[in-house]
Amino acid sequence: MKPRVAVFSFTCCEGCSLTILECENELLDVLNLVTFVRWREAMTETSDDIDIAFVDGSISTHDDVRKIKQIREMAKLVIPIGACAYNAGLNSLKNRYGMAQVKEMVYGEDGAQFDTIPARPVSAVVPVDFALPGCPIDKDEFLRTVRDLALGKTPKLPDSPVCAECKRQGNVCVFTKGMKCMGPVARGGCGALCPSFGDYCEACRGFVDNPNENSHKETLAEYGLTAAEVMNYFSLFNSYDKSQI
Amino acid sequence: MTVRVIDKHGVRKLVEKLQQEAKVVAPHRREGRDQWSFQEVTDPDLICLEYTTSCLPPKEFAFPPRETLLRYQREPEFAAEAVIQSEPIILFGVHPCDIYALESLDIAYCADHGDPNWIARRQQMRLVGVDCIPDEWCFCAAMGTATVDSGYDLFLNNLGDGSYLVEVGTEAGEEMLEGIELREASAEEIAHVKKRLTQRVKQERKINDETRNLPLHFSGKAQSEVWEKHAERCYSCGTCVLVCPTCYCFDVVDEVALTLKEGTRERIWDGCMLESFAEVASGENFREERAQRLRHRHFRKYAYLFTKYGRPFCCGCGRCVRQCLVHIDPVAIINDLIAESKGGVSRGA
Repeated sequence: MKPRVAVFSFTCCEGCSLTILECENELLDVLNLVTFVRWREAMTETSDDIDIAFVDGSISTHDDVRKIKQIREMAKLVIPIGACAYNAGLNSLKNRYGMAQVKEMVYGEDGAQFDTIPARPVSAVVPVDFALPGCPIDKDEFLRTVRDLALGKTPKLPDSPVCAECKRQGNVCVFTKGMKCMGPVARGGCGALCPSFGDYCEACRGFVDNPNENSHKETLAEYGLTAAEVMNYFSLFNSYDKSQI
Repeated sequence: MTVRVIDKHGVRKLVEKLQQEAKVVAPHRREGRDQWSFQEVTDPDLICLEYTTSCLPPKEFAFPPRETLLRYQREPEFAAEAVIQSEPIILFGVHPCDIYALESLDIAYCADHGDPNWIARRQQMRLVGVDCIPDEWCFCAAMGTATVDSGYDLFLNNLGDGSYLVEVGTEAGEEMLEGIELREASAEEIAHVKKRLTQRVKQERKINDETRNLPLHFSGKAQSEVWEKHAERCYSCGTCVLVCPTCYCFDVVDEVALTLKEGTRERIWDGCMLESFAEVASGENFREERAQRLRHRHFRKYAYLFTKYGRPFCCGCGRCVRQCLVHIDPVAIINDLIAESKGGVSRGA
């Protein structure tokens, strides 16, 4: 029996769900391994009989909390995908403000009618079984994960930083081009995608297990960033802080 | 034998001739401050023979960052086939330190059991050396690699006007020169090169003892405070080991295709500074702390492999410290250890 897979979306752009849909050359092989039974971006059918739930988006309303708990009840495995679901990503930038202030900033006077709570990763609300980081997720990493689950293997995230992947790609360090980069502390697995195409790393996949954050704060300061700018580099994708909830 | 000189025009002719015979890779300038890499030559005019060092060492052409070792099928019945991809290649413009490093890896990859992929690529490789331009990080003189007398087919010594004094290392090197116009070197030109090489050997960045004594200074230093001190700002990002011309560690992973019917076994550059390197299947990690990993790397370079093979497994190219964002410096580490042995305080690097 092929595992029954659903894809759910919460507060996000649904770009990670779209990344799955964009595996055009591989989708037929994926369908030999699993059956998709529920996925609002891709199909009209629906089901509550679910083995694996991939979830993108942060949990940022009371209704989200209720729904993700339901999903946890329904699915055998819950796997957050993408920065928003993995560590609340960009969404958690709002957590440093009051919720009334946030609504006012975005919607003006009409904001009062909306329900919003500080954004949190899926794992802050329900237990999760694995997670794929990234903004968006890495297509190949998703495919490897599906393959591993179909084979009964435990999938594993790489723990080496983006710096290591830049070296394997033969990239010139972006610091020598005058840019600042989060590569030394950022979790790799993307193949150093951004530095390979002339940009710097923003740590959209979160940090490695044991990042030397203090050292990197000093490095960024040595390269001319102010304390506030250093914090911006660190917090863009990685500002989720339990104490703000 | 007379010493000969190849001029700028001759170098170009030589490259064009070699391009007819094999893939030629040479240093090219890259975007970024003082950055070069070995790339396939498309236009000989783009080759940059006057360079301090390349980002990645030339080992990548015998030991690529990722390569397939094995292809297998699971259906209709299991079958596997070894994969060795190699082609004739000429490395043009390799520095003495990197030549020393390639010879070191020849030793490492052939000592216990031959690595067929490395050997196949090295057998199809020819090498044209060129003397280097030192920068503030390299320390080849301290490792005894400022000059080499083997490991190349041809070696070019810069005379400063686009022409080079040519040394022939092998018969293959002599064949490379066939049909290329050369002239006899003058006594002044020979003296000029000799003088520069003598200066090179007296480079500023030094270790405070003889190279051959290095393993002694590591003896009993496993608990030294030196490791904590130098690891404080280490990221464990792996840059130093991945850009090291004498590091040869790798990880092996099986990649089963999505069809589950076939797959490949891949080897990927890995290294002891990366946190997961010494992690075993049960989850135990034998070198959990950054300082332990830094210690291990330096023990490998200057003690374990030095003792095993009789030469430092470091060519002094300085890539590790140059590309390290916080410039963790083996010369400073070694000198701290030497100071500790002597019971004094280090004067630094």
